Amino acid sequence: MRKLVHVVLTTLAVLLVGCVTINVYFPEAAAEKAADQFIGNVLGDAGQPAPAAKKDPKTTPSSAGQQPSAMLLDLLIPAANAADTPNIRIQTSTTEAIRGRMQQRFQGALGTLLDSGAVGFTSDGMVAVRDAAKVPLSERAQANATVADENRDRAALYSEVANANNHPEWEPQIRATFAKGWIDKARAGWYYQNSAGAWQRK
Amino acid sequence: MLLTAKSVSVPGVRLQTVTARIGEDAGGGLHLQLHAGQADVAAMGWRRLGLTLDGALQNERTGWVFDGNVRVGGAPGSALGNAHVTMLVSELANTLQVDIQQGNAQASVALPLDQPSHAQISLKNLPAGWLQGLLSTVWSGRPTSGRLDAELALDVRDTGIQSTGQFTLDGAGFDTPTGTLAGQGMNGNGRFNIDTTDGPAQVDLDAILHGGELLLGPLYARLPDHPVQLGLHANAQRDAFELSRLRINDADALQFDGALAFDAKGALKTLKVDHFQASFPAAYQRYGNAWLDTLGLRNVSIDGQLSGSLDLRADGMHSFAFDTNGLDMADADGRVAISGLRGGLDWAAEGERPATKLLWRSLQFYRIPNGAAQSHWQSRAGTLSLQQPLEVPLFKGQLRVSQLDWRPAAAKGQRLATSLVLTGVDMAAFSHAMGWPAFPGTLGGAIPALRWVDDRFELQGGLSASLFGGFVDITRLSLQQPFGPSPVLNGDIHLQQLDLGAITSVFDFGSITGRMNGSIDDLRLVNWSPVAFKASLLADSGGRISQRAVNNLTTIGGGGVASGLQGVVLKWFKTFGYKRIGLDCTLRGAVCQMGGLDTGADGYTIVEGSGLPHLHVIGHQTQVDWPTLIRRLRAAIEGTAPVVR
Repeated sequence: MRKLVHVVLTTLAVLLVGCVTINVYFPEAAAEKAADQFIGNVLGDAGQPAPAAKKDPKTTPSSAGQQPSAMLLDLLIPAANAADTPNIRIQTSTTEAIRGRMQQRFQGALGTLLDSGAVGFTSDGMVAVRDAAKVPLSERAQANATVADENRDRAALYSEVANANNHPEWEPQIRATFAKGWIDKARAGWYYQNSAGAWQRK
Repeated sequence: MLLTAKSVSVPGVRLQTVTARIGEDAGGGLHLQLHAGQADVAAMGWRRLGLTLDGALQNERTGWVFDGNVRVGGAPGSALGNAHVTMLVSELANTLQVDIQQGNAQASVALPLDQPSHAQISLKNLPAGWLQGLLSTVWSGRPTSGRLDAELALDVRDTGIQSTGQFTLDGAGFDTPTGTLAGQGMNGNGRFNIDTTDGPAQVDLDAILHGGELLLGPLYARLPDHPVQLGLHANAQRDAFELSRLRINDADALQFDGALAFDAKGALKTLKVDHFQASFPAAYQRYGNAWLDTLGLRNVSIDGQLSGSLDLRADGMHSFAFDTNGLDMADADGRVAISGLRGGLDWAAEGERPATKLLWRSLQFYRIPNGAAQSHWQSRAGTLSLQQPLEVPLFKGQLRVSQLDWRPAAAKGQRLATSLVLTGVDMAAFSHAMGWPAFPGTLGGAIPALRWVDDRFELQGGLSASLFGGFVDITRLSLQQPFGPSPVLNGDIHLQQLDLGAITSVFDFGSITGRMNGSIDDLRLVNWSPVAFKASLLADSGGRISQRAVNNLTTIGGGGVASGLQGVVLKWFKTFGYKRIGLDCTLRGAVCQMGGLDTGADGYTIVEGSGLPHLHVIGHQTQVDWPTLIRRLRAAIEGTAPVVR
């Protein structure tokens, strides 16, 4: 009898705990994949620039027997290739615009700053000046502006991805996922901040 | 004769493991060789350096004269690596005179024998790097380049040094470990006074600078070739750095009287400007450019004059005021432009300030030009209030700000209280400014309250436009980072009884008659283009759809249907009757989830026809690529056929 009570109580407890843990779900694996794709794109070394939803849709003329107007509409409105989209979305016109700006920056001023070690990736998904003395004085103010620009775009990106997925409260997780992604994909020689806040060279 | 000593100390200088060898040289004089394994000169910040003196010692009428070489190993900037030195000890005159020459650098030191802690020093062409050790005793910064002439008096005390004198700099530079305070290529001359005996180093400096660059945290100055007066009183304590008095006078660009402090990380901690006067564009080009760049305002074109004051402390803003008698400003991205700004604002966290007036000839946000307006302000107990309603002409209508209270020092979310009324804005002019097809109609509305939290403005109330014979209501508006790189606009739009005939004529898409209702909820525009919404449009009062509208649809699709039997049939009719038209689109990411009047397994009905010929439009694709849809719609409106791949 006592055993039975134990079993019932344990089952209840498990059910209760089960109920609680279901509430919050952040698709971590999908987010990681999406972030890696985005970062790879920005850093220009992933070689996989076309995520699922961006494929140029082929408009296939519909078979005979369908009403003409329906065909017209099908032509007007191409089907999105959304079948293999991960369950976190990262591509909107905004994130694309941000990606474009970031890409340009990494190919230009920010890339140089990272290569020289003047700037590194922080543990919270941003960039920061870690050694301004590595930059000639005349370019230092410009370097600060570049870092500020990049951080504005990064903050906008994280909140935009959270919003595009209809979960603004995911922003911290998305930021953390990206922070890890930037550091993972950092080129050899670039600096990043470990979880303790100390700068390390990759 | 060989003398050795473990340690020899005179004030300011301490020598250890000293060997001195004195012998007779060929000329009958004495030859002195002195070597110290470790020499410490505290005032110069020199520690544990090797020192070698080698030369002739002669007893002349005036006293002992040493003429030879000095070699100091390991001094900062290779100071005295191999220098010629003449020393004269004159008991009669009670002085020790040391003259040192290395290359074209010269240093002369004279000190009284009975008080060797006091020295008169004269420097010529001295490499600034030689002073690195000296500077390191008071500050973590170091000189990087340049040469220095100076005449100064130096007192070495147990607790530090006192020095005063005048100097001339030639191409001087300095840097700090964090790199946030630095200078380069600076020329100038002036007077200084340094005291490190009482706690943190106190530096007084009055100088005239010309040329060079100076970086003070976020402020970067490119000094002009003409003289700029600089006066400052600095407290330096290792990394932290405070300028308790800073005066800059660049005649044709900037006058500045204030104080600022940086923390150990080189970040600006406090900024107090008692008097500030700037003439643009020179002030922007020389001093403001870099700072505005970091704020995201690049290539600002600014012209005119501005004077003001500011008190910014670690706990926030305490007061600010500005005044101008004419200022024009525009940023390169066209986000904001002001012309003919005159007057000013005057705010303080406490007490009452005089009333001010601020007026402008025109004010432009993005593509929206606002006309001339005049505003009256006064600050009382930390609230800067509009004294009279502000009326701004806007697209033949008016924006009336009936009340505005700004509390710059209040908690987040309570900084701004305002109520706005918009009346009679001409939609045709507005849509023209936005680059849209001209919508006839007017826009008005009231925003009774507004909340400002962080970078987000939430507007209560709503706007209502009478458009196309119906109404468009916009509610739950919020705007985030209006001048950032990615401004975000949120809102809900409700459409009531819009005349489809008028809409289709504006868009030149063929004609559809009837009335339309609908809603676009949770609309989210980022950088003014939609990234999410839930739209639902319905025309259920019946009407007609023209053959041209259908034809247009055909050309959009690349003309695939205009041929064949169906095309021929279509051409017989000018218009088709319809009972209902309905279309839903929910945009998330780049994909629109489509729907219509009724959704079946085979598709969703978009047009339900009536009469003959019976037109029935069914959509089959529920997931639609948004950018492609927009591209084709735009091409249809502009009358150019897209390339279908």
